[in-house]
Amino acid sequence: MKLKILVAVALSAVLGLASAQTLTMAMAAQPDTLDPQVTSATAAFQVSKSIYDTLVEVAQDGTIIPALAGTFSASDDGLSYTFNLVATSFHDGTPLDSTDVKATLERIMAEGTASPKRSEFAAITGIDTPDESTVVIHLSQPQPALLASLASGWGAILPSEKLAEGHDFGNAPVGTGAFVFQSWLRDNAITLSANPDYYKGAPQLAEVIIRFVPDPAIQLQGLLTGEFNVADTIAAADRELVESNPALTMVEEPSGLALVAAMNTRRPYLSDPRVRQAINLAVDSITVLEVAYAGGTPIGTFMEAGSPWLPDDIEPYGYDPEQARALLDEAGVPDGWTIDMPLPQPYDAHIQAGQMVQDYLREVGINAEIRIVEWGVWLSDVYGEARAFDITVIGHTGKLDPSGRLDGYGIESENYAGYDDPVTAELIAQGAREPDTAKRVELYGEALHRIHDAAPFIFFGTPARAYAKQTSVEGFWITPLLDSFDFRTATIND
Amino acid sequence: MTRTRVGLVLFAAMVLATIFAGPLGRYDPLKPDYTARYAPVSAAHPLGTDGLGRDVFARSLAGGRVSLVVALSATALTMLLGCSLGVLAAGVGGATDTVLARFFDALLAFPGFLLILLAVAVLGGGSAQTVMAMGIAGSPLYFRLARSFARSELRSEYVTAARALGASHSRQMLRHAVPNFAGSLLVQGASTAAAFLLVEASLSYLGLGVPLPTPSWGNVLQDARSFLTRQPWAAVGPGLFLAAASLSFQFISDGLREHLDRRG
Amino acid sequence: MTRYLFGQVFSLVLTLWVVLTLVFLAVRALPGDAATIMGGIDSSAASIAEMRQALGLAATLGEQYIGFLGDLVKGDMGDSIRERRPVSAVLLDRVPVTLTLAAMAFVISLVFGLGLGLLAGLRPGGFFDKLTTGFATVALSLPEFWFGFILILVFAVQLGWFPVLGLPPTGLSLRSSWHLLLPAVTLAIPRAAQLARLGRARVLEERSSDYVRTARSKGLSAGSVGRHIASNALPGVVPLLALELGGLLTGTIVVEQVFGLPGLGATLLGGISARDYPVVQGVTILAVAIYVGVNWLADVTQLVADPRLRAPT
Repeated sequence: MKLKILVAVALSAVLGLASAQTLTMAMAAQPDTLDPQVTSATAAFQVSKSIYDTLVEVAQDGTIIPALAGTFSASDDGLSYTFNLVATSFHDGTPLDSTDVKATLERIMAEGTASPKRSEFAAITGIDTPDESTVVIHLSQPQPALLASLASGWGAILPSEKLAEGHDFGNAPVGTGAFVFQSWLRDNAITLSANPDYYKGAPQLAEVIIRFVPDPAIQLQGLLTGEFNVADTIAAADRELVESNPALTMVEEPSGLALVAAMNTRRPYLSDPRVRQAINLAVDSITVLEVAYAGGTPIGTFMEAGSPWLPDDIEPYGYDPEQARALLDEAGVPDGWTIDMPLPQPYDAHIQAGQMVQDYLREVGINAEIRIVEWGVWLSDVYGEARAFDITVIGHTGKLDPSGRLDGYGIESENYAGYDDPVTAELIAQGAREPDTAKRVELYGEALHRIHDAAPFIFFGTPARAYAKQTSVEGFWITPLLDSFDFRTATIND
Repeated sequence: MTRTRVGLVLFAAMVLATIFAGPLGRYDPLKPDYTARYAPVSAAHPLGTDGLGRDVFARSLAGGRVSLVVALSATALTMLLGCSLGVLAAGVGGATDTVLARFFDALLAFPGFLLILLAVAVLGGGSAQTVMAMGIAGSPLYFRLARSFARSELRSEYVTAARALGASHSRQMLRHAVPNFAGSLLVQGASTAAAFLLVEASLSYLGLGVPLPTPSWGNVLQDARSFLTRQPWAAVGPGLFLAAASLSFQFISDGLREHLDRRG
Repeated sequence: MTRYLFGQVFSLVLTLWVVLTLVFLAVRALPGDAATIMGGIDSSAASIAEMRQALGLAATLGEQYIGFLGDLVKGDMGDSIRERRPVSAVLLDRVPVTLTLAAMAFVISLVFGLGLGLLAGLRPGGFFDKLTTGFATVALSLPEFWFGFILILVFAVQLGWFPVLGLPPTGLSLRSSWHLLLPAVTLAIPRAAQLARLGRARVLEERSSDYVRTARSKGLSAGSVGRHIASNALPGVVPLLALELGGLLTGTIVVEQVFGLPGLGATLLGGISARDYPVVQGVTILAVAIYVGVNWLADVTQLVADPRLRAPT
C-alpha cells in the first residue's frame, strides 16, 4: 500500500495530476448492517455517513445546517416543515426527488421495518410532495427534535425505486453520499470509492478503506507501521507514545458522552434518594475521570458537560466520604451492605471505573460485588425486563436534541434506573413539544435540577473524545454528538 | 528422574509462594494507588504497578493462587467426572454404556475451546463457572481412558479369578483394576493441568474467565496488554510465573511417564 | 463391509444430532437475544419487542427446534440474523481463510515439529534433542495469543517484513496468502511442540525394541536403522495428528482474534456475541463434520499404513 501511494505521488508530481489517495481507517467495532433504518449501532452510522446523506446535517460547530435540503423552514405553529431539495443523484444514477424522501420516511415509520428509531417519527401525520424538489412534513404536535432526527444517521435518504424493489440496503447500500460502496468483506474491511458527482464537491480522497481491528494494541501497531492512517481506539496508556511520535497526532475533542454509574432505584435502600446521594459523595468522580477515562469535565446531572441545555448552577456532587457516611446512617443502611455490580466486558474503561467505585464504596462500608459479564448478558441484566443489577457503569452518547437523552426519565418502566418522578416526566414531555427554544431550556433545566437532587446515577463527567491519526492526514473530522466519521474533506499530505 | 525433581521443586516453590502471597507481596493486590500508576520496576515494586497503581508482583502471587486452584480443581473435576462415568459405563455395560459412549463422543466432537466458550457463556463468568466449564470440556478424554482401561481389566485373568472366588462386581474393580490405572491417570492429569492453566489465560484474553479485580495470571496478563508500551514488566511478570507453572506440570508429567514405563 | 459403513454413517448422524441439539439449547440459554443486542442501550422495550417479532424470535423453543431441524434436513441452515443472508453464504466466505490458515499451520507443525522430534529421538542427548526440549518447553508454557503478539511486534512492527493484519482488505487470494504466515506460525507452535514430544517419545520406544537391536547386530547402517525406526514410529502418531487437525480449528479462534482474520473462529465469536443462532449452529455443524471427517480419514490411513491392523481378529 505504501508502494501504491509512492507511485501515485511520483506520477502526480510528473503529470501534475491530483494523487489517487487511499485513506485506511481502523475501527474497533463493526457495523451490523448498512441499512440505516434497522439499526441503532453507532458503528453502523459511522460508516453509513459516507454512503448516504440526510436532509439536514450537523456542522463541525454542532449546528444543524442544510444538506440534501438546500433550504428548509418550519411553520409558525411548528406543525409543518418544508424542505427544498438540491439537484443530485444516487449512486445508481437515479435523480433525487421528493418521492425518495417520502418513501424513505414511510419505510422508517412502518411497523414491519421494526426500526429502533421509529418513535422519533411517530408525530408525522402526512408527507406531501407538491413537486419534485419540495417535501412538506405534517406533524400532529410540535416536535422541535424533528430536525435533529432528520440530521442523524437514521434519517438517511434512500432511493424510492430500490425501496419498492425490496433492495437489500444492509449489504449493498445505495445513497447520494460522497463515497460509493464497493465491497464489504465481513470482519475484514469495507471499501468505498469517491463519488465524483457529489453535490458538495467530489472528495479529495479516491478511496476509503475501513478495517475492523477490535484490538487497540493492534490498531496502534498498524498506525506505527503506516498500515492505518487513522485509528479510532487507542488505549489511554498508549497516548503518550502517540503524542511523542512526530509522525502521529493524538486528537482530543469535546465529546457528548455522559459517564454515569446507574443505580437501580427499585431496589431496597437504593430507592432512598439519601442513599443515592451518599453514594455520589462517597466516590471521587474527578479521580475516576482522571484514572479510568484519561480526564474529563465533571457533571452534576444527566447531561454532558458543555451542553447549552445544562444549567450553569448545577454543581457536581464532589467527594465527601464523611457526609456520605452520615447520610447512609440516617437512611439506616447496615454496615457491610452488599450490592451487585455487573460491568460490561468489552469496555476496559468502565471496568476500571467500576473497580475504583468498588474501592471507594468499601471505605464507607458498602460491599459492591463486581460481575464482569459479556455485552449481551449485560444488556439483558441491566436493560432487560429482569433489571438484575444494583449498580453499573456505562456511558451515554450525546444526542442532538435533549429529548433524545431524557425521554423516559421520570417514568419507572421507561428507564433502566427505574427513576420514577411524575413531575420530571411531565417537564421532559413538555420540553419535547415546546417550539420555543428559551422555554425548552427552562423546562429541561428544571428537569435536570430534579434529576440532580434525585441522583439516580453517580454522575462522573464528560471525557474528551480521543483518536489517533498520522500527522499527514488533514480534513478528517468526527461529527459532534453523533460521532460519525466524515471523510469528505480529508486529504493525506505526504 | 532429574526432570521430575525439577518439576516438583518448581511446583512446591510456586505453591509456597502463593500461600505466602501476603507477606511476600507486601502490598494488597486489590488496593489501588492512584498516585503510583504505571510505576516502573523498583525496589518497592519489583514488577512495577498497573493502571490502577496496584503492585504487579503482589497481584502475580495472588493470581497464582487463583490460577493454580482453578487449574487443579478443574483437572480434578474433569478426571472425576470422566473416570467415574467411564468406569460406570464399562462396568454396567448395555444401554447405559452405549448412551454414555455416544454422549461423550459428541462432546469430544465439539472443538474443545468452543465447548468451554459456550459453557462459560451459559454458566456466566466467575472462577467456579470457569472450573465447571473446563471440567466438562476435558471429561471426554478421561471417560475414554477409564472406559477402555476398565473394559480390558474386567477381562483380565486376575479379575476372572477373583470373580471365581466370589468377590462382588464392584469390589473386583476397585481393588484390582484401579491401582494399575492410577499411574497413567496422574501422567495425563499433569498434562491436563498444564493445558488448563493456558486455557484460563486464553479465556481472560476473550474477556471470560476469572473476573477482575480478583487477579489471576490470565487476567493480569491480559490487563497488561493494554499498557504494554508503558510498563512492559507488568506482562513479563505473570508471563514468567505462568510459564514456570506450566513447565513444572509438564516435567512432572514427563517424569512420571518415564517412571511408569520403566516399571512397565 | 456395508454393515461397517452403515454403522459409521449412523454413528456420524447420531453424533451430529446430539451436538446440534446441545448447541441449539446452549446458545439459546445465553441471556439476551439478537433483538436485545440490536436494540442496545438507546431503544425502548417496545421497539425491542417489535424487532423480536420481525426477526421471528418470538416463537416457542419447540417451534424453533422443529423449524431448525426441518430446514436442516432440506439442506438449509437458515439465514444469519446479523448479516441477513444465508448462513451457507456466510460460511463459504470464511471457510477459505480458516482452511488455508489451518492447512499452513498443519504443514508447518508437521514438518517442523515431527521432524524435530524424530531427529531428537534418533540421537538422544544430542543437539536436536536439547533443541526440541527447549522449544517444547517454551512453546507449551505460554498462551497462544502471546506468541502471536510477539511475532507481530518483531516481524511486523520492528522488521516490517509482514503487515500487522493477517489479510489485505481485498481478502484472501493466492497472492495475499503469504500474509497468513505469521498467524499460521502462531497456530503451529503449540502443535509442533506436541508433535515433537510425541515423535521423540515414539522413536525412543522403537529404539529399545528387539528388531532394532537385531538390525544393529546384523551390521545395518545407522541411516537405514533410522529409517526403519521412523517408519514404525509414524503410525502411532497418526491418531494424534487427526486430533491435532481438529484442535487446530479451535486454536484459530484466538489466533484470528489477534490477527484480525475473518475466519470461522471470528464468525463464531461474533455469532455468540450477537446471539446470531443460525450462524453459531452453522459453524458447529461445519466444525463437527470436519472433525468427524478427519478422524475417519485418520482411521482409514492407519488401516492402510499398518497392515497388522487389517488382519481379522
